[in-house]
Amino acid sequence: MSNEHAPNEAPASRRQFLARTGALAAGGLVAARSAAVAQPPQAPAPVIPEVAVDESGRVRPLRPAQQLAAVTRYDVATFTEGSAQLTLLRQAVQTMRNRADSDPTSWMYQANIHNIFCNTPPAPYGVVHYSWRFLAWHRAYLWYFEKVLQDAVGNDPRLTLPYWNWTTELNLPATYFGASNPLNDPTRQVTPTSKLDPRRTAISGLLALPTFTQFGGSASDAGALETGPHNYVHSWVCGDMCRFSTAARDPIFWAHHANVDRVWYLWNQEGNTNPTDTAWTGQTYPFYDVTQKKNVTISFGDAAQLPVTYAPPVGTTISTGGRKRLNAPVTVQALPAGGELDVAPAASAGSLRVVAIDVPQDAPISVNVFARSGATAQTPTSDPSFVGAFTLIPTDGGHGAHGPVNLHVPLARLAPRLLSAEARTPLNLTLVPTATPGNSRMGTVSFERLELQP
Amino acid sequence: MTVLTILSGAPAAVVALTLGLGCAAAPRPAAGAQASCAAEADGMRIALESAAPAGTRGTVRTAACRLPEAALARARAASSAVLRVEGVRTPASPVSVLVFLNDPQADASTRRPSYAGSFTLLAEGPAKINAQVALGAAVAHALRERGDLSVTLVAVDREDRPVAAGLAFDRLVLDLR
Repeated sequence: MSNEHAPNEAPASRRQFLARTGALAAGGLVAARSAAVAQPPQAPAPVIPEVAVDESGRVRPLRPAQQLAAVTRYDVATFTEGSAQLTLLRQAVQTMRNRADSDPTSWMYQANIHNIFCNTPPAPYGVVHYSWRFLAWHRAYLWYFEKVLQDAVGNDPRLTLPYWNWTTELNLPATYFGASNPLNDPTRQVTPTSKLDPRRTAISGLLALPTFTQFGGSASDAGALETGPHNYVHSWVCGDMCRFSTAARDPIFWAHHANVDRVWYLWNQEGNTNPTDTAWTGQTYPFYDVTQKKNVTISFGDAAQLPVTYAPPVGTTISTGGRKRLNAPVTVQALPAGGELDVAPAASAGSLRVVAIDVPQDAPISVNVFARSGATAQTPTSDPSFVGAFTLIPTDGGHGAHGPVNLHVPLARLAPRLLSAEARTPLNLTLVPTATPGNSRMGTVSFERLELQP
Repeated sequence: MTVLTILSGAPAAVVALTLGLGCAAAPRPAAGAQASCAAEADGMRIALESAAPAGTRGTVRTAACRLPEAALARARAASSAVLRVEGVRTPASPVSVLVFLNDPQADASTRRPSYAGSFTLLAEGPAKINAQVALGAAVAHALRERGDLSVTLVAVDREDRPVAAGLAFDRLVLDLR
């Protein structure tokens, strides 16, 4: 296979790439705007705004709905053997591997873009790791790579980059192993049975970070996502993945980085904002755009707004058997016996995402969450099974009626339970609605489903 | 914002580095390690300076500082915290650093209740970087029933074995919000 090069080989040479991007030409960068931004987005789908509850029970300001519907990426766990998605992915990767390394749409050429910009990029570009460049550069890198991948299978709309949700999927997916499998990388130092440490891949602590400087980095600092789970997973897989210069040769790189990008997406969904400093938004980098058959540049400001969305991961959705009305306690089984949701006891306590819950129009409603069945309105919050709560109040008339929201409820005491012996029994969650103090009526709400977020 | 700054006078090596904050339960200084500390005027920044030389192996501990009341109150209310590790030297092979709170005896197990977060460096990249570790509500949790705080850092390889050579860095800053 064409990816089997010694680590120091550079089949798609640095000079080839730079010449194509114009970076070696007099005058440096081409100042053209991103082709991605110029492309008309597909018909926007309605997006339910995400809101969060802080530790004191307050609901954070709602973020304006955004139209992010052009590309939807799915959990790699849905790319099962025999599925059209997995077949297409393997075909696309094999096609790219079969191409000459000097071809911008070849596997090695695309992989070497990472090598060039991660270690010693040419002026005027900066290294794209260990600073605020990390997330935006990789989002654009994934975007243009995904177009090459889709082009390799005739732009079949069923193929988008999968993401590897290493927070709960602790094994490197089995579909990426096998001697004749184009998704394999023989340099890896893990096997299909190796397991990540879930305490080092938990993301709820990251999602609680209030500033991009902490989450995604600054001009001088690496963000916690990069030096946390991102680097840990690279190190854990190792082989090609252990070095920036070779990491993108391993097909799991792309699923890993799609998940890193998903975590950024989730952080934004919770109302957190990206830098507005033009020193960040105005930085541009070149990529090969297969749809135009030429190199383009894209700014970080545009990269951050690429129309990508992520479907919920497999295994964290709690089935409620349809929309549930919260006019009485609702009990759902959150995890089966021996469920693998396993998070750090204090640093990352986990959260409950209540999907598409109404904002009440008639009266406030408080909801206590207990990690057992049988809890009632009389069960106090001092009960050992109490794990969290939230309150919803009617929308302000000045702003008009509000549609459903996705609510993130921190479950501060859930993690120790999951780490205890009780984790060996099914985990039930009971949502107990009550009227708020001073109100005789309880608001009328229903929700679509629940998701657990480690 | 509350910022606790932990300064190392010389680059410290993370092998099992414990930085104590709080007079009540200061960890015993390890042989050969000396330290001093000072709270800045606003009481919201605490600098701990370690005299540990670069390349120090084993446990490095600073002297203890009292956590000011205002800082303690804020720390207890903080819903998220970040440990900023400044001037980390890129290692020759991948190294992870595990962060534990109020657990001077911490080993390389993330299953300890005191485990609060970690960061990892690969063997490529700039010679020195500033890393950050999301600690979530772990600091508030650690201070819930006591007024002192210590940070223990344990460097491990990708097999989770302690790394004898450690990982050198310049300074730690604990940022509570």
